[in-house]
Amino acid sequence: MSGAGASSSSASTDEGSLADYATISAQYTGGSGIGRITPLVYNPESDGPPVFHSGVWTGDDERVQFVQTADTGTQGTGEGGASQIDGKSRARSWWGIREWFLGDDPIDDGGAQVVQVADTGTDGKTTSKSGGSLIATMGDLADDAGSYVGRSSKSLILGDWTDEKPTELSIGAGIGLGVLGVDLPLDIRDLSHTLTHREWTYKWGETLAYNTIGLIPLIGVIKNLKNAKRLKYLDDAGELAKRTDDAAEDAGDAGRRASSPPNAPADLPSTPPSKAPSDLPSDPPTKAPADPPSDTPAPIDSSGPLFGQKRVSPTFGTEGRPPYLAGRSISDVAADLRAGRLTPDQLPIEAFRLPDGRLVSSNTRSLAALSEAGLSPTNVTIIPPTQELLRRLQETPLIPNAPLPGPRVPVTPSQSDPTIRRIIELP
Amino acid sequence: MLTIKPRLIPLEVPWMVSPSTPFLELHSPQTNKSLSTYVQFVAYNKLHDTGASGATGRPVSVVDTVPEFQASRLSERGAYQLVRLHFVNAISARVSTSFSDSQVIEELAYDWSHVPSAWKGEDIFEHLRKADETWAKSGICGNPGVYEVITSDHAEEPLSSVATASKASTLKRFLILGHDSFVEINAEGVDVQYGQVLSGW
Repeated sequence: MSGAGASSSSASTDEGSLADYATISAQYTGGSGIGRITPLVYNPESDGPPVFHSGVWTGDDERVQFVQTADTGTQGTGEGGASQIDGKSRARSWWGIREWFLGDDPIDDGGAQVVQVADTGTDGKTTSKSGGSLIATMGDLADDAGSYVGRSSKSLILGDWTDEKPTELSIGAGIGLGVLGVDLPLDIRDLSHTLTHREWTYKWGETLAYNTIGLIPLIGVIKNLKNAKRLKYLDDAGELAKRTDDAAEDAGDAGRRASSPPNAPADLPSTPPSKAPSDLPSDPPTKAPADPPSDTPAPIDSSGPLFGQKRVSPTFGTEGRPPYLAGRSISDVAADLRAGRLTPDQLPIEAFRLPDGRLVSSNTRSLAALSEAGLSPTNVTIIPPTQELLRRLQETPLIPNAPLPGPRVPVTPSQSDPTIRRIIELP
Repeated sequence: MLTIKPRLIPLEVPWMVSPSTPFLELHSPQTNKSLSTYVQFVAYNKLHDTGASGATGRPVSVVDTVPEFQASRLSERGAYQLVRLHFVNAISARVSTSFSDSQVIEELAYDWSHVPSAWKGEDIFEHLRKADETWAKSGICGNPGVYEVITSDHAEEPLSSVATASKASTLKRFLILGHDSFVEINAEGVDVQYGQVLSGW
């Protein structure tokens, strides 16, 4: 059901009714830069209880992870999903590092229904309407040769004070100025914008963190990488992101590591995820998913995904894993990572976000291999929590300083042998 | 075509199948039908968890393989304990590989509304706290990882073609979640047998 492409009318907004539940499908056309999200009416008679849906839709050469949910609550929104806000169905999706909320007003677009898109923080508050549909939004990102230089200049000069989206040119220029150490006025400009547009949302906090880092000479160049990463997802500017990553290496390890903000999805999997979507069962939802109060700063955690399992086996499983992982030991994979035979991108991590902002990994062995190599994940996909992942957190840790979730995990020989061989710690 | 999702009804037991070290095994006699089909696993009982052996400074013992099952006295309980589920008149069973790293089964495909401690979208910390609280108060684990699966007649997928129409009416489907695998069994019922407490797990 989650990936069904059939469409019908938009979600009802009758408060408290099963008909409120919206199922939304996403389609993505690789290469064309067009995304389309179509709301469907949830049919309680045939669909059963309302549930959380998430899914991965694969296009020709692009991927989009789409997550949405619906419930009977009328206030707030949940981490890793969405809900009803003021009686209106909303859903959150992750498009690379961008988070979108889908409005409930369908717009007819050539016979297909698309929805309004608004940038919204994790507290569910819409902070800026981008207007139009997702298609229109994506279309805005398509390069228009006639205005490209003008848009780049505007973005470079006005920075965060303009709604103009950064371009490769403006980002490249920003990095160049940063490397030369003459970008302090631009950093002060952006920081002043952030401080005068306080929103107490996750996104605002993330922006504040980046703009504060931007004040640091040389290291501050990583501020531009956030925009570069965003381009990578929205505009297929993967090469640009790679180049900016390389530039960050010049700024030292600290810069390189920070180029992939660990609490945001740093990348989409290099190969289409073979596994299907997660689910948040909910019938009947007893309350609206909790989120920080709107007057409380959304928590932000600067560290990478934590381990979310009591122990980890020393070898990868063989089912459904690429040859460079299947059946291999964590240590061997870590050695390949250290030697450069594997890249962190080849070990995608799926993680869900806790209410306090921390991420918890579901791929314990991959995270352990990266950690043993002294690397942080660069290929992180945010997923909703699953029943299984939360069950894992109910066990008691093996060692005193390895809470669940936590920054270290004991390696034990097998499912049947809990002897602690060694302890792997996040770098 | 839209279908009604199979509903999960959890077994009312004080433990859960250990999410990290279940060591789930299916034993199903091929020839001697007088022997029962059973599933064995390591169960975790938080109510008897006074701190894992490693966490309390005691050495974690070496367990090369899961020890042979020894039926325990009813009074013997520990945080980790071997459990066998004996299935009455089981006619078919299968073991499947986990759906993904984050889901043993495809959670989306099931209706979790009757699983008391299933997550329903609330604050995660609050969910974990309530799940533990419910467990402690009721003595029943709200999401044990063992379920009876209720399916509509037309949606039911027989695990085996040997199920006759008359037999099928009394059959129930059971689902047991491990870590890297899960087990499905069609049987008329299930009995729980406790084994020894596993120290050092």
